[in-house]
Amino acid sequence: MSDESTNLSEPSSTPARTSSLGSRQHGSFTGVVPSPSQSWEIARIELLRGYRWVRHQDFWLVFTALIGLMSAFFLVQTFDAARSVGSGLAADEALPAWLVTATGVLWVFLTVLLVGDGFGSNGDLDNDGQYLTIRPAADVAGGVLFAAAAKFSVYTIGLGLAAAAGLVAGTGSLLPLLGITAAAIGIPATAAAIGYPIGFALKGFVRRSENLGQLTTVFGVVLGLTYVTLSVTGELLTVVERLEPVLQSPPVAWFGHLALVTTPNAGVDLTGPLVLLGLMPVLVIGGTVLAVPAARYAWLADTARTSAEEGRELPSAPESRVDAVLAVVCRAPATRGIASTTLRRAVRSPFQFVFVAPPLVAAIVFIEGAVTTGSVPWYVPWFVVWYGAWAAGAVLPLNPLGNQGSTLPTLLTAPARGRHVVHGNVTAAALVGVPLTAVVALAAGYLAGSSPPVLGALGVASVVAVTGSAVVATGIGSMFPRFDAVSFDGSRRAVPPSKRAYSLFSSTLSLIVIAGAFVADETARAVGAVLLSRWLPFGLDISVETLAILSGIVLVGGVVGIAAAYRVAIQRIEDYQI
Amino acid sequence: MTDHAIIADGLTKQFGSEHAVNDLSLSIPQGTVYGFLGPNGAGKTTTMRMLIALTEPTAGTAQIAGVPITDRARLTQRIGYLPAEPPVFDELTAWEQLRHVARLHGIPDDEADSRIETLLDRFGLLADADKRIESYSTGMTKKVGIIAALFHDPDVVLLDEPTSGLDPRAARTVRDTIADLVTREMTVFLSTHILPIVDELADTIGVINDGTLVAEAPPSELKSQADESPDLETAFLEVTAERDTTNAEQSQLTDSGAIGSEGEPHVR
Repeated sequence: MSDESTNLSEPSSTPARTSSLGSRQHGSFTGVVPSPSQSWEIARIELLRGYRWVRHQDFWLVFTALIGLMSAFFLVQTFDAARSVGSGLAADEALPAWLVTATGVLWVFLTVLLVGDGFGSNGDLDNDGQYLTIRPAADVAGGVLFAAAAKFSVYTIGLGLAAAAGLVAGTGSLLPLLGITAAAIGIPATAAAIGYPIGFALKGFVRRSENLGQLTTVFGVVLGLTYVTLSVTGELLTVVERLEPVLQSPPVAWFGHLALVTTPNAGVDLTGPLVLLGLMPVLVIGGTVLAVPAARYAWLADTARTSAEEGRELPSAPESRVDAVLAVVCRAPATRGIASTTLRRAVRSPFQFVFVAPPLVAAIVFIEGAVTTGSVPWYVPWFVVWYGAWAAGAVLPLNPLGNQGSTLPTLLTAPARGRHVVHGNVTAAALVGVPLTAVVALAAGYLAGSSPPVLGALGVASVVAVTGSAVVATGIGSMFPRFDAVSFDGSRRAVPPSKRAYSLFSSTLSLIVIAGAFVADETARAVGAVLLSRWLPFGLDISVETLAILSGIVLVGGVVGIAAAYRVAIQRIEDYQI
Repeated sequence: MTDHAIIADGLTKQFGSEHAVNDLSLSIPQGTVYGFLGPNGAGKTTTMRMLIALTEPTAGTAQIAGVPITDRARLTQRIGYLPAEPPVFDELTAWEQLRHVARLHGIPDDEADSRIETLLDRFGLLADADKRIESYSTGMTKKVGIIAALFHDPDVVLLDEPTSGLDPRAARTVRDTIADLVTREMTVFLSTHILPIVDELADTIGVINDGTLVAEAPPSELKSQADESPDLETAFLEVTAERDTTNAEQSQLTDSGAIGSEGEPHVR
């Protein structure tokens, strides 16, 4: 067989054709070692696409801004801690051991994240048909790995800058910059070189396995829940403490030593950093070379097909419990159709739930407080009612037209009427939202020591608030439909409600639920009167009784608003034109 | 029901100052196939959307199966529509998707299921009916869309590119299905770029270019009007080129101030 034919799988391994159309000269390591210039070009495009993707996704811009705020706070803390350490070192104090541990944790954290990144869709090629037929897989793998290292260096550059500035301020010397710069570059580079090949290999393995492929989502959920549980219960620190002997020993500890080796009076032994500086190129080049076959193993995998395919009987009409329940609840087939499809899509493509997740950060604080103090504050059950109602409204009914996506013409050209769409959306939201909200609110009320009348009010409020909020959401959402999907990782997409619908619905619902809490709960009323008297301008004062009356008026307004939202939604859906 | 399934009079759609469709009049007899041709961006989809009340005309009126397009509630009971992008939810299986559409049409599940089974079998999808549409090929997804459009036995069905992305066998099934629909007195408004299908099925062909209906005739008559060779492709190219040339000439004349704005010739 000729050279040419043996190299058909690697397009540019064929003997270079030196034409005027472009350079196709490759070194003798082509196919094994990535070409730096080609990998850089692929990485550059990957990073550019990533930047443009974030810039054009309002959801991610908001998320990035929030993370940015949190990061700024964290960076200030890092600066203060580093300055304190620097001052201590200048005063001949010993270097705190936690600095080396923290640097080691950062490296381990980034390596684990990069394993996940390589395993996930970021480790796939959007244009594999183009890339893999133009360049050898080595160049493409190198580019992907390069882009990942650059992306994740955001962590080390930010933290490194804050820590270096703190140490410089504390010690009065610029020398800490050198060690920290070396660590800030070396940590993501080595983490990517180790993490990505592992991620690629795992991906290839899972893709070839019939059973593992079906369990990926379950593994992801279990991992996520484990992480959240460890964070909430404070056990994450225990895990770090258990790992401390490893994090304080070479080679992981060398990253911390490298970061601090140039800091005056740090007293770091030079051996570790020197060995690490020598090892880093070996690790990066070795990892990159290993990433190439691992990437081929992942990208060229034939996805396992279920063996149940063969000899199975032809499918018959599907039967589901959801349909059985809906058959009891909904009379009109169109309402049943909307509700059933809405629920099925939500379960099978749960990315829509991401848009209602942010307030759950507060839930972590409540749970942590409850675990540590053993008691639940009085307002937590009401927060649960508010959240249940808000989430039930915002997750599905807040975009009744946009959620239809490409099937909107089918809906609008079918005899189904606006009321069917509204009823279907409200039924879907209430069917899931009411029991969940009621159970959690009552449990929280019980733990908070709420009186039986308050528990009763919580139960009723859960039903009324969730159902009412779903109706209000449908009304507001039909006024401000949104059709643009948000991409989570390039392949997974969901359509969030429009910003106007989101804001209007959130403020309306919050007002109604707070008014409900004031009417039903004496403590809430008393606290509300005190807070409002403090916040109101022009020295205005509000008594508990006035607050009760005003809350009652808001609730009556809310009931009228629900009726109005119902009419608006029906009219808007029936008259909607593309 | 009137003898004409689709009647349009002076349908016009303006987006800002631009005419997407300009003064379009149609009269399509019941139980016929109307092939609707035009270059990309000529106004085919906008015309279809106006006819099924998805887009409000800037001017003009239309009736589908005797129902004015302003009466959407009644209109929806008489029409079926397949957009160019198949209207399906990727998260559902084909059977679930079709049952959803059946429910939107108010058809009870048991009645819908037997019809779904028959149609899935006819389009060769029954074996995959319990798989999610996200795992389907383009052609399979298209077939689900076609079934959904025809499922409730409408009087008039409007199909936008029904055979694009289909393999020859599936395209044949669609052609046979359309031919079969006509024998049941269904009227088919067929928009496509695939000329042989229109040539084979259409009773009348309408060609729209730049928002204006520039030709309307039975296929044989349209072909015979072609100067270079008597085939539909040549006829289509000549008719649309003629219009483009006329527009260009008019634009030149307008630029030079030779004629006023009312000087637009009517090629049709």
